[in-house]
Amino acid sequence: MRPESLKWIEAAKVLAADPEAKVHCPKNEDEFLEVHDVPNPADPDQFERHLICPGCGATNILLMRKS
Amino acid sequence: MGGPKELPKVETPDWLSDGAGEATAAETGESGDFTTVERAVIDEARTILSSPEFEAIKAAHAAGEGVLVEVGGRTIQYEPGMPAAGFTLFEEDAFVMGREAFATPEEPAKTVLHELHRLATSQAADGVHGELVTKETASAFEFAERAVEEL
Repeated sequence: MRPESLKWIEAAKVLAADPEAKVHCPKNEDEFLEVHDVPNPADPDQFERHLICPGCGATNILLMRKS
Repeated sequence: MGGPKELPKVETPDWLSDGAGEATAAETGESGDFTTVERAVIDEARTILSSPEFEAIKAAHAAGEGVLVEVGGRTIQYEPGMPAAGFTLFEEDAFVMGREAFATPEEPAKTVLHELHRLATSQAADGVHGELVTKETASAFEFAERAVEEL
């Protein structure tokens, strides 16, 4: 894994547990990542958590279940 | 401050609108239920799930340890500290599995299918958001539910 990917993984671990945490964009560290939850229409217990940098647009996606 | 935000609405491109962009016969698989891209995703998932490297991931999960493997050029990391099933790494063309990926017997396969579908089809990494991404999310979940029966 590239160093940037490892930073994304650490960011994902934090934001999976706490979507309100302030985590800098792993790509450019220019902004805090925004979190958007997108539910599975067929199963409200499942959703994707989109991690998006409002500065550079870098995006990665968590696959989650409601705990 | 505040929790997750609502995605802004954007127009859906014609190719993703209802009735538009449907796969042609040439693009569908043998049964017609899956596109060529989806068939390739199912094939890759089958290879991953039957590989010795995936056995290493399952062993790592059982031991509560992390592991990094590569199957057919696809990098997969298992992260016991990630409270999620999966995490798509678009720029790396790789994905992470978390402990929730093993919550049920079917969940590992569904997670692999979902992540591979994301990597093969998503435009989210190109900064496309809103309604398109909402449709992509529904499509990935729906695909994993259908495709797990093919494995």
